[in-house]
Amino acid sequence: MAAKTPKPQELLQIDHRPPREWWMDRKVVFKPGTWCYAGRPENVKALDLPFPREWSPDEEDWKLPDNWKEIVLETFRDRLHKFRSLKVFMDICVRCGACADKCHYFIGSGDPKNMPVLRAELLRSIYRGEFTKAGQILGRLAGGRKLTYDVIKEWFYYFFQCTECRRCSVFCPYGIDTAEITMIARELLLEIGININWIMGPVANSFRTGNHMGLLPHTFKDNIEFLCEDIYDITGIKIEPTFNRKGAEILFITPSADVFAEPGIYTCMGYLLLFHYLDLDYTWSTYASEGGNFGLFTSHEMMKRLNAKMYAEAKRLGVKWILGGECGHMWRVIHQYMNTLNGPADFLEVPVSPITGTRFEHAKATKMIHILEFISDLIYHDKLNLDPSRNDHLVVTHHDSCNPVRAMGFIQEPRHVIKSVCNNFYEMPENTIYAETFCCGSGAGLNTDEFMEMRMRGGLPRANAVDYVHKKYGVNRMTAICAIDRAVLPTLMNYWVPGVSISGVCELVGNALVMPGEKPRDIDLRQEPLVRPTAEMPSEDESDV
Amino acid sequence: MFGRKKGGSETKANIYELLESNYHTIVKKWIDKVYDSYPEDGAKFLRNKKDPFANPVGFRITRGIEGLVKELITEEPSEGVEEFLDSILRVRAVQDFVPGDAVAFIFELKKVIREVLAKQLRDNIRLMEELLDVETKIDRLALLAFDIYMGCREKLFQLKVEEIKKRPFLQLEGVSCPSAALSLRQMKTLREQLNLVGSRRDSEQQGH
Amino acid sequence: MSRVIFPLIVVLVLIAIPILGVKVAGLHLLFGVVIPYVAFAIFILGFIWRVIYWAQSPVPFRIPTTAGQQRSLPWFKQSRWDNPFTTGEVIVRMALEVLCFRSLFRNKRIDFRQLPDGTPILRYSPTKWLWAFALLFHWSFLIILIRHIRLATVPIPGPIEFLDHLDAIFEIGLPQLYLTDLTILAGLLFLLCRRLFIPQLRYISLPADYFPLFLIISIVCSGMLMRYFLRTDIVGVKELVMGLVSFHPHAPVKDIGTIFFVHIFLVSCLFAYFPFSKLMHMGGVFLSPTRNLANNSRYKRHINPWNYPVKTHPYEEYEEEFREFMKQAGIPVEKE
Repeated sequence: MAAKTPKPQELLQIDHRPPREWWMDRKVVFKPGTWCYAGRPENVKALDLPFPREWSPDEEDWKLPDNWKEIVLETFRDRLHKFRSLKVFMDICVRCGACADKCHYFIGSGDPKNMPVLRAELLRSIYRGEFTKAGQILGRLAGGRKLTYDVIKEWFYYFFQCTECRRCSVFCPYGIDTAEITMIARELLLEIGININWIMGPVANSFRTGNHMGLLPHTFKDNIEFLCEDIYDITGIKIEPTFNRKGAEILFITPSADVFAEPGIYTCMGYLLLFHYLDLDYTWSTYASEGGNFGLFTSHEMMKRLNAKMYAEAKRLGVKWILGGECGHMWRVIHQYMNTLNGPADFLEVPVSPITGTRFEHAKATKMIHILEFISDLIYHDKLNLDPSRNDHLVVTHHDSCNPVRAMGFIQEPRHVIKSVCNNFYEMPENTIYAETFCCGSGAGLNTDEFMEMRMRGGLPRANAVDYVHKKYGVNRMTAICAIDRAVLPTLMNYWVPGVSISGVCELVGNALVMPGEKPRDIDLRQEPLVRPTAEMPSEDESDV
Repeated sequence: MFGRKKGGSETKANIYELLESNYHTIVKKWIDKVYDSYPEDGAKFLRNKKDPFANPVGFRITRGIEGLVKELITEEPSEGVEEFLDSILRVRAVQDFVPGDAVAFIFELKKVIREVLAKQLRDNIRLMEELLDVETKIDRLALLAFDIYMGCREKLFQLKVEEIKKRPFLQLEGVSCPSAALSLRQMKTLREQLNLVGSRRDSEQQGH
Repeated sequence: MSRVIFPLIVVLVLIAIPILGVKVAGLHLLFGVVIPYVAFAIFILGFIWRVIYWAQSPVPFRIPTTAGQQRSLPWFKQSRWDNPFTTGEVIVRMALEVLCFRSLFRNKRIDFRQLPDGTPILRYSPTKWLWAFALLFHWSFLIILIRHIRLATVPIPGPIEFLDHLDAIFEIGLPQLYLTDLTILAGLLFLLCRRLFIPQLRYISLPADYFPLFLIISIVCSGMLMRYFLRTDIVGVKELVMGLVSFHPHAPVKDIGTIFFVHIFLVSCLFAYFPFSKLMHMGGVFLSPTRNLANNSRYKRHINPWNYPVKTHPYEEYEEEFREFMKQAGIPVEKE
């Protein structure tokens, strides 16, 4: 009888499935929450980048220059000429599909063009259609298509939905790196004045004031001094760091978010405590006050323009070597690009730890080492008085940040430090850590609020793994050695796994480090009590696999 | 407990017993309906991947649906209902659904039950009455689903506002309300003071 | 669907051409000598051209994808094959990649499934199959190719003879069945079925993905037909091939069998098509900067040949703009 009369729910029934069209036929629809605002003309102008103007991706007219097509094709040709990676990646993909389900955005959204292979095909199809004979003659049959206005919009949409995390590249049998493709695609778009403000703003700030936040020198100094006041309240230790000091042995550079934004500031307090403990001869710089480099998300040229400050400042101050704080893409730039772009740094010396005498041979050309390499060496030589029980109120897991892992191989260093400074550490499931780590979903300049829905989708795979250890072991703290992680993971956790907070590794170091002459510590760097929460640990759920 | 038939003939069984004996069919059909609400290309992925960490969306849907059906067939649903609804709706709240589509899958359960029990329902008026009872429960479930969906959306907006509030220029000036900061006068002042967006020439003209 | 049909039709046409050409037009010389020579020349020149084309672009940055622990401090064990530091380690990484498809292997994933009664069972997901069948196909192809050397040599070199025996080790039928004939077919059919039946794969596949599959399947089938079912004059074939490789070609004997011409024509097509297609992944994998570079960019400076000066914001300009602020805050300045 159910079949005879139409029921309300049958009237309500809507077919959600889109028509079965192939990807080349599907046009992009700009839904809120899935794209970022366009770069403000003031920011674009301040950087001498082309075509500053007011425009918005959700409008029909993007106010592109008349010759946008020539510009894009010309730039494309130029990049093929400059990057063997691009040429090879355009030619050798066999579309085996191994990468398809490795992208966090695809996993979270199900949008097929978020499969790395299709993301790259967006560019490859133009390469074939415009530059190869077969593509020019056979068109789609050879997998080619012409460059149109809609293609440009599609590029914008999908290349600003890639966090350049390189997870797909780990699984590709030919090592095709979507990050490389995205970086170059963004360069093509940049040439016709297409960019996003969340990248342009920090870049413009960083260029002028030295840091993303646009902190002027005195504000930068003030902020660190505020943190020192907090440290005094918590530990009774008075710290007076120096700024732009010539003749210091070491220049310390960290993402400016550590100086300013929660929870990065607690990590920064960790650095300050450690350096004070060691009586390290180091200085901060207000000129090179940014470790992060949103130039990486803009163009190779912009990366170089911003990165130049590090060596320039090291040279001006006459330091011996540079120490870098906890940051993800900053370390990709330092490790894989800096010395090539702005080296050789022959005015510096090979980093040597003044405490242990260890020579950091593996960084002998770039002359910059990671703070966790530095700390790991101290712990190995037993130079730190640590009390891990001061982190007993925390049950910790570690999120491997994409860039340090997949563009450097930074895996055991943070774990060595974490395990030395806390007693409760649990790993997330195997295929979500190390080189297979899932992105926070907000990297590569996409950590803005207007991109929130997409960020939550992209962050789901990570959150899901956290949820697992949260339920199974009662994990309430996740460490991340990346400033973007520290900025976005609290939001992500707040949505998916409430009850898990985020910090840098050095915050835990700061908690555990027993400072000579400190007052009894009953609160941690967040000024929260050092007592383990009494809430009992959730029992192991058998259906959780 | 599920998946085997209870003693006694089917005609005498009440609707809950029937639902229980058809648990797996109902779950499977309902999950299919949920997947149907996704674009086809993505839906196939959701269906096929079983690893909870490689396919969290599919995992959450499966977990949620299984839980909801279990709750429905026990005659007194527990607190767990909200958790299972949350498992599904928290995902749908960040995906490309308008609110109606996001919760519409709840009503699909009615259709699934009628399909699965079509034969038994056809000539058993008592079962039909009991079915109405179940459907009322499903209606309540839908309302609850909408509450949870809205809760998730509100959470998102709240998170957005929190992030905006955290932005340095707001903190610097001690402005706690974003809308106030957006007022033209304040923005102008901020720009002048911080030179967030101005060129160097601009600042020189201000006489620094 | 035209993305599947079109390449299929092309392959069918390619099969028809030598049948018509030999049977109807009697162009034995063209199909037996001229076309193979031309195709082989295209292959060699095309391959070289393509590699030179790639090599003309420099590798400006050292961008290996690191899939394991870096070499940093001595108490951390470096993952030498996943994160190579020296050239030797890179060679091992490349060898594992090329010979064992290591990255694809990483794809392995164990699924937990629950039976209706709630018992969890373990199974490997299809991603693992991709690795297995891809390996099966590529290795079979290589062995078959090597095996063919026996047609071009007198006497047949020992290793080739050995390989031949090994391949026919089960001694089934007469002529004896080659194992690789079956395995390559299995590999090919798996790869084709994946593309046809996994929706995600069908969605991303282009005609250029189906065409080589159809072409190679046809080559394998024509080869098997020739060996196991249709009569071919094996002596005539060997004479022809010997003539070809010794650059003293002579017209093939007339009754060599049409199927041979189909086989050699399809092989010619594959060779001629190779340098202009995705099949060049064979050469490209060696040039992939994320795999063939050592992760030692902090140890040794990598040179970018086109590294050009850029506009920066030097310290002097910075101090010029903020000097007053800096002085007030007690930050040292260069110019008072």
